[in-house]
Amino acid sequence: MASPKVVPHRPIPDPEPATPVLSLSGLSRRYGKITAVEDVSFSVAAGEVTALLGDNGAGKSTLISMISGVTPPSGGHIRLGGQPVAFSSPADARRAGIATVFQNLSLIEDRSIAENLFLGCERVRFGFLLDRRGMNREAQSVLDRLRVNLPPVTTAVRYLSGGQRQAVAVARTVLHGSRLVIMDEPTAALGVRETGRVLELIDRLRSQGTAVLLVSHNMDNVFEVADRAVILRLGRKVGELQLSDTNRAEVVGLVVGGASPVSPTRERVA
Amino acid sequence: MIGKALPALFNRQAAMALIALALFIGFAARAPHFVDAQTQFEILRLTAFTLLIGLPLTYLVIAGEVDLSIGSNYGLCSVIAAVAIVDWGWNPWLAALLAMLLGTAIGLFNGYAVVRFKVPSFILTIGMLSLLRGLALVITMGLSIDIPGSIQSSFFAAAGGMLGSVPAQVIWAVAAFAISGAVLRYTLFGARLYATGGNARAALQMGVNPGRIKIWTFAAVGFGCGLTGALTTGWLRIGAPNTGAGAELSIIAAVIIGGAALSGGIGTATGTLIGAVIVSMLQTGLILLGVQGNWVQVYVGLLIVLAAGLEPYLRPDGALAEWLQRSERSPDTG
Repeated sequence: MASPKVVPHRPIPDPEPATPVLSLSGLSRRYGKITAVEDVSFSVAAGEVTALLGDNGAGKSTLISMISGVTPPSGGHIRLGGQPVAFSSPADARRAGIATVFQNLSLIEDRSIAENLFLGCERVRFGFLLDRRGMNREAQSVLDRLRVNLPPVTTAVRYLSGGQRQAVAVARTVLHGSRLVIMDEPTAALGVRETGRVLELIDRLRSQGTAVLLVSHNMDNVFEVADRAVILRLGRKVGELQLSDTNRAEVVGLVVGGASPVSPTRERVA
Repeated sequence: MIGKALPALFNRQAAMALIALALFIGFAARAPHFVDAQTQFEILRLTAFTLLIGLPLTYLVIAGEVDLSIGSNYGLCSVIAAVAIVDWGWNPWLAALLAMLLGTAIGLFNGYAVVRFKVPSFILTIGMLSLLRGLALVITMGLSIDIPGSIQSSFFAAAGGMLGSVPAQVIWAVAAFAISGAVLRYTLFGARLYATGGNARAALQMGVNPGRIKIWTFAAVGFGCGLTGALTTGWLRIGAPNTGAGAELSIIAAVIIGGAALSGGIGTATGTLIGAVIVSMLQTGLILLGVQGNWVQVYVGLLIVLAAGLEPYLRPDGALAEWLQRSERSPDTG
C-alpha cells in the first residue's frame, strides 16, 4: 500500500495529484455598498502559471489581498489543497504556504541579501543567537537553485538592480517552501533584459512544482510565461482561457469589455 | 591603489575615528594637562556615562525613534535612589535596583504610548522631559539629598570606586559596550531591530512585530537611565534634582556623530563609542584650552549640526559613496 507521501501543513484526506493548490469558489468582497469582487471562482494547479488580468479597478488587488490574508472575504470560500481555509493575517497565509511578492517587495535597503531572505524567519541557535553562516549558506543554495545571478549574499540590497531585487523577493518565497506564489506586477518597473530574467525565474518556479498566480498588465509577459489566464472586469470573472488556445485580441477584448474586441495596441514587433 | 584606499578611508566609522584621533592630537599639543592620566580618566568617565545611556539610545535610533527624556529620567532615577537610601533607610543595592526598575518602567511607558497610541516619540518624550524633571524637583523640593558618610555599603565602591587606576564607571561602560555590540550583531533581536527601523512595513509584512521591538527598546533606554542614575548617586553620594539636565544633548550628539541615522535602520555600537569619545574629549579639552563653559555648549551644538548636515552625503547611498564608486570605476572603463 504505497500511498503518495504528501507533506502539507494540515492532513489532506484525499491527496490526489489532481487536487488544485488553490481553489476559490464564489469569493466576494464588499466595502459598504461597493462591491469590489463578486462571485469569483477559479483554481490554480501546482506547476502552473495562472495570469490574473483586468483593467484598473477590476478587482485584482482586492482578490489578491483576500488570498494573501490581508482582507477577509465577505462571501465564498478559499480552499488550499482541498481544505477550506480562513486567514486572519498575512502571516497566517504564509504559514499555510501562500507567499505574496508585493509590488514594494518588502526588502530592507541597508541589510544584506541573506538577511532579507530570512527576514521574519531567521535561523537561530539557543533561541536567540543568529546562525549567520548557516543562513548565508542556505541563501546561496536557494539562489543557486533558482540560477539567479547576484553579488555575494552579504551584499546590501541597496546595491541591487530592480530585477535582482525581484529575484531576492522570489527566492524568499522558495525559502519559505511556499506552495503558491502570488506576484503583483513583477515586471512593472523593469527594463527589457531584467524583465526577461524575472520571466525565467517564474518559469523555474513552475518547473519546481510551485503554483504561480501572476498579476500583470503586460500582455507580452503573460503570453510568454503563463499557462492560463483569468480575466476580471468590474469585480466579476469574465473569462478563463488556456493561453495556447487563444490570441491577444480575444484576451484584450475580455479585459476591456464591450461587444467587439478592441484590437491590441501593442503588437509584438518580431 | 587609491581607488581601493579611498572607500576604506571614507567609511564613515573610520572617518570618525580619524577625527577623534585628530582631536586628541590637537588637544594634546595645545591644551595644558590634557595628556595627564587624570584628565584622560576624566574623559573616560564622561564617555562611560554617555555610553550607558547612549548605547541603548542607539538601539532606539536604529528602530527609527528617539527619546528626549533621557536626561530627566536619569535625574529622577538618581534622586529616587538617594531618597531610598537616606529617607527610607534602604540598602543602597536595593535602592539601585529600585532606580533601575523605575527607569525601565518609564521607558516602557514611553514605548507603549508611542506604539499603542501612535504619538510621535519626539513629542511624547519632550513632554516626559519636562514631566520627569519636574517630579525630581518636587520630590527633593529643589534641594540635593546628601548621603551621610555614616552610611556604608559596597555599592559605593562598585559605583564610584577605582579598579587599580581605572574608574568603576569605565568598567560598567565597557561591559555595556560589549553586550550591546554583541546583541546588535549576533542576536535575533539585533536583526529585527535593524529590520524595524529599516522598513517597518516590510518587517510587518514578513511577520516581524515592529511595535513590540520598539517597546522593548524604549525599556532598554529607560534601564540605561536608571542604571546611570544609580551609579551617579553612588559615585557622588548625592541625589541632585538637576542631574543630567542637558545630558540628552550630548548623548544624542554622540549617537548621531557615531553614524546612527534618525531615519532609522542604521547605527552601530562602535560608532556610538567613537561619538561618545569625541563629545567627551571636546567637553574636557575645550575647558582645558580656557574656552568659557558656555562656549563649550556652542561647539557641541555646532558638531551636532555638522554631523546632521553631512549625514545625507555620508549615507551608503549618499553623494560621497556615489562619487567614490564613479571615480573607482572610471579608470577601468576609460
